[in-house]
Amino acid sequence: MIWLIASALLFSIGAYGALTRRTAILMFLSIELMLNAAALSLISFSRLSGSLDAQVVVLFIIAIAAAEVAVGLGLIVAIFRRRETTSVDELRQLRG
Amino acid sequence: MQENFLLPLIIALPLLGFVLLGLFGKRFGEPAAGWLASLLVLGSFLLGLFLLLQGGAKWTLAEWLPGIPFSLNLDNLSGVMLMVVAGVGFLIHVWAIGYMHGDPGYSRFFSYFNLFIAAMLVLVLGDSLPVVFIGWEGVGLASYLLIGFWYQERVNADSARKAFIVNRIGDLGFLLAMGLLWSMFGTLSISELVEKVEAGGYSFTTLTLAGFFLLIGAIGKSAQVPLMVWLPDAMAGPTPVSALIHAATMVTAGVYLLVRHAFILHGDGFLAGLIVAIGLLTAFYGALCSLGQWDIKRIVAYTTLSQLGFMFVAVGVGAYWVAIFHIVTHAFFKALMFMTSGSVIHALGGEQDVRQMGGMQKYLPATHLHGLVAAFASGGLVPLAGFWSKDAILAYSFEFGPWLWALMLLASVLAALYSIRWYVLVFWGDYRGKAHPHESPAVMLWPNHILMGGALGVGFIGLPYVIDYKNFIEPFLTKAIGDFPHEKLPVVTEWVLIIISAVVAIAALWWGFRFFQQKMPAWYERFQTAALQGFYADAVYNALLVNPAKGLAELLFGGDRGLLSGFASLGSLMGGLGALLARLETGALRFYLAGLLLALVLLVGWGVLR
Amino acid sequence: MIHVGLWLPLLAGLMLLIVPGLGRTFAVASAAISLGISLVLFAGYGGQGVAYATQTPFLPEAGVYYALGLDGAGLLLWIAVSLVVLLGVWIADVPVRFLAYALMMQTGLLGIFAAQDLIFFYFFFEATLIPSLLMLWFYGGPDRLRAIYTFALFTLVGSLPMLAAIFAVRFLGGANSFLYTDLAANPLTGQTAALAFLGFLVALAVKTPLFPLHAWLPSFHQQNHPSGLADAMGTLYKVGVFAFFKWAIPLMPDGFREWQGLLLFLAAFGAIYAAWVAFSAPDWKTLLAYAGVSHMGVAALGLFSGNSEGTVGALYLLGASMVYGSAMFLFVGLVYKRTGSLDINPVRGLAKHAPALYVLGMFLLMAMIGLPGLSGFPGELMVLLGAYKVSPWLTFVAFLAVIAAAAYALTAFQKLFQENAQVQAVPDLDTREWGFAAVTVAVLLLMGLYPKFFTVYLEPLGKALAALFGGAS
Repeated sequence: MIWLIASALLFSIGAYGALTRRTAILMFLSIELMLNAAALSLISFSRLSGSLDAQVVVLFIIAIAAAEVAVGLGLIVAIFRRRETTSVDELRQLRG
Repeated sequence: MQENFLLPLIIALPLLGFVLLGLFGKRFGEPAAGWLASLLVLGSFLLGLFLLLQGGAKWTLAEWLPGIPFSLNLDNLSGVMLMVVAGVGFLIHVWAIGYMHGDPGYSRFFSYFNLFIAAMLVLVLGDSLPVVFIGWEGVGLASYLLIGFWYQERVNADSARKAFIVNRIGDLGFLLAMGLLWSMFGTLSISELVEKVEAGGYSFTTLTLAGFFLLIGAIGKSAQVPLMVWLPDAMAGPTPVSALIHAATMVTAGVYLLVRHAFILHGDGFLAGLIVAIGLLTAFYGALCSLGQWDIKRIVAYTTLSQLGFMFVAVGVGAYWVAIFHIVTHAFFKALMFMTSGSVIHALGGEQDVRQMGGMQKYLPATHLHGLVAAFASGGLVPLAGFWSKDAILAYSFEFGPWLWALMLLASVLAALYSIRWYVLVFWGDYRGKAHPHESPAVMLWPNHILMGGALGVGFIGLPYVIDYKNFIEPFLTKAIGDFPHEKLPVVTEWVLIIISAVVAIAALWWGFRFFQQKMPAWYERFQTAALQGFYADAVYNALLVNPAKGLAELLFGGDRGLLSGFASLGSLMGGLGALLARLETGALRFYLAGLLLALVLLVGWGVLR
Repeated sequence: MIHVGLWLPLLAGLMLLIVPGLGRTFAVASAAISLGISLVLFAGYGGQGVAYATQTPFLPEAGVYYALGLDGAGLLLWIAVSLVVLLGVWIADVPVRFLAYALMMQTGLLGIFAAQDLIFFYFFFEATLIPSLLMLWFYGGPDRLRAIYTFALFTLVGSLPMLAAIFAVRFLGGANSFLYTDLAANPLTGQTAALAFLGFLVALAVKTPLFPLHAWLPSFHQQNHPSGLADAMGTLYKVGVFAFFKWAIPLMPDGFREWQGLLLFLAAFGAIYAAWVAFSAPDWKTLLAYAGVSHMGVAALGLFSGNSEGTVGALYLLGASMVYGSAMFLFVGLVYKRTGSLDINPVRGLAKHAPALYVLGMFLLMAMIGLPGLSGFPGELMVLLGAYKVSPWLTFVAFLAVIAAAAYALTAFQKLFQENAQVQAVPDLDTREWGFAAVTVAVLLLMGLYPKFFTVYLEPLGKALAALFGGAS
């Protein structure tokens, strides 16, 4: 149960960080926090139900998160090289 | 009466002529094309006569459309019409060989002419209403093509178009009549309709409506008031066309249609009154207009209107066989009148204004004789053809009501006047023009000789019963029309009526003969100005119907564009809504993220609270 | 056979696009084979019921079958389409790619008439739009973008409610598949049917076209290539009446009853309205567009009468107008080739130098205004007989168009051919055009003089439809 609360806390921190930070790096960091919070809650539920299925899924999540971090950071680096900034408020070109 | 495969051949012959001349006309050349066309019509005539003498024939193609057979019926009524159409038609064909000489559209002309005969025969012989309608519209087409024969002139093309459109108003009546009869009886075959109407078991008001629709059709085709405006303009066609289509045959199709459906009309007071009123109006309108015309063909055209009015009155008073009798006599003397006019026009190199004519009796002796007989027959001089049929109409009118008789007598006085006016202006006095008149060739004279014989003698097939107890045509026709018994007038009354009408006709002819040689008095000049314009019927129709209709068309066209832009603005409304939503797309990542989380919270909240 | 007939034009069209060096001859050959196949199918048709029925599971879990088959109406329209396509690719002077689109469109049209599965019907109904749009896009007039928007939007927006209604018919009606036989055995009833019918109505009214959803048509025709081929194909695409007859009414008779009054009114009013508007049309294509709307109004009036005569008349008129309407557009294309303009004013006096063209025009025009003896009349007559039973007044209103038609058609005709104010010297028909004229006139005459040849195939269908409504024919 405690792990669920920890997971909720972790998620809230991540959400707060994602909303308040303007730097893409920090936002990315916060999002990773939220992702891991979700993984944590998954594991705790799996403990509660006594099944191991979720743990397998979380292993997948970790592996994919690693790949995703590589791609995400690469993108941010590319954007920085081009724009000399990573502030998301200045990056509005994608609007429709 | 039996099935006979020769019957459709009557129609096929002129149709063959149409196809042959239409496709290879130029190769036939002149005059072979004309003779081919004429002989084919003669073939139809002889074949028809042969079948008629055998007591009629029938021919049925089981089904043409679901529930509608393609059936032809040659009985005494259609037989008489066939004789007129093919017989007089043949004479006019032959005459046209001379008249159309040298025209660049020579073979085209005869091709159309044969098409007309074929269509007219379909109309006459058809036993199923849709078949009649094929002929009905077919003659309309032929009339359109022939009025606009010289379509390079705008006025001719306009006249042709006008004739077609006005006729279509009548056609709508015909169509609706078919719809109504079908919904009432489930058949459109005339011979079956006769039985069903006799059998009863339907609403008489509805039947009256059917008769009314048919009447509208007849009004259009027979150029009765108020749809009379197309006929005078139809004179834009070559003169043989006017003689054949717009005098002898097609315009009588309306009368024929009504007579054919006598079983629907008979005994219906409303329809009888309406038909009589229309006929009377037309008889007077035509007569008065004719008295004011200067164009020789328009003079004759309006006299046709007047005579058609006579026929309508005959139908209205229930004298169906008399109407057909008058069609027959009229075909002879009116065709003769037109072809005489045509010969004069031909002789004067195309001149049509009677003010440039006069004195033709010196130059064209034979044609003068034709003209004299035509005028007398048309004017109702005893004992020429026109007298007997007109007298029969008068007698029946007297039975309908003496007032009608009086009016009809007045109308026949006018008929005598316009006939003699035409004669005087063309043949009497001194020649007022500058051309060098020459008598027509034999090919044009002989048909007129024969027609003249008809105009003199054909009336004797229908003498009043007080003179000849063996009236030939009445029992002959009533066999087909149906016997609607009526009380014959007493012998004395009948004799008095005959004598009055004979004397009045002679007096009117004599008076007109004197009057039209003088200089016209002022009141006549005033009358003439109005009559020349047909009492402004065209102007009134243009102002009241044609121009508003055109204006409305413009308006609707604009409106239709508006309809599209209406849909377009519906589209841009959607676009506006989209633009409103698009403003949410700020591009600010954190704004999106906030929305995302908000949605998450709401979703989770909804899930928890549920 | 039916599969070959259906897919051959698409294949030929694709080959024309891909293989270089293939030209008009190839297209004509394909169209001729198509027509030949359709005639073989016609010769082998038993006279009743759905023939050549085939059925292959396509998505059996979802109840979708690739099912084809031809009833009398489908067969006759199939022939009409094949004939018109042949005439079109034969006569129109257009680039090869244009011909390819026309052939591809043919497959779509044939599919509409042959589909026995509602999903496949919908597929063909929509897929046909693509080549039609491509023709307009690549070869249209200067203002074509607007026309494309209008056309595509009307069609697509109209189709979505139909798609929804299709699912409603299947799932609410309780059928096990989208097969026609299955759906017709489980028709929708009551209020649901009324709603679902409305869905069909919107889509089909666009394609009938029925007033007031005809608004896309004038600009569509006006902007299309002046050769008239695209217009002819567009005329064939007016399948609304057929779809009402084949799908909408049998699957939702209750829904149809609900809307019948409105439909009759729209059809009758559209008939006279469009004919009247046509009188003010500035150019031939607009005129023909409105004339087509008017004729389809008459046809729809017959179908919506719901009795045997009206149905037979409507289908007959549909087939006839596909032929003469398309031929009229192709004819106008011939005129354009000679004069370089389609405006009705000024007068041109073409008859003097092109008498054969004049005669061809006269035939087409007279067929168009319903002259008895030519192809337009039998259908009109049957519609009249059927509609009069149901609503005399609306029949009267609709058939006022008979007068209006004479007015607009003859007026425009006179300006084009007659009068000699300024005679334009133009060449008369050449050999290829003579072939076109001969075939067209022959068909007009055949359909006009011996309608029974075709109506025997329509009559059972008309009776069946009337029987849906308690046999009150």
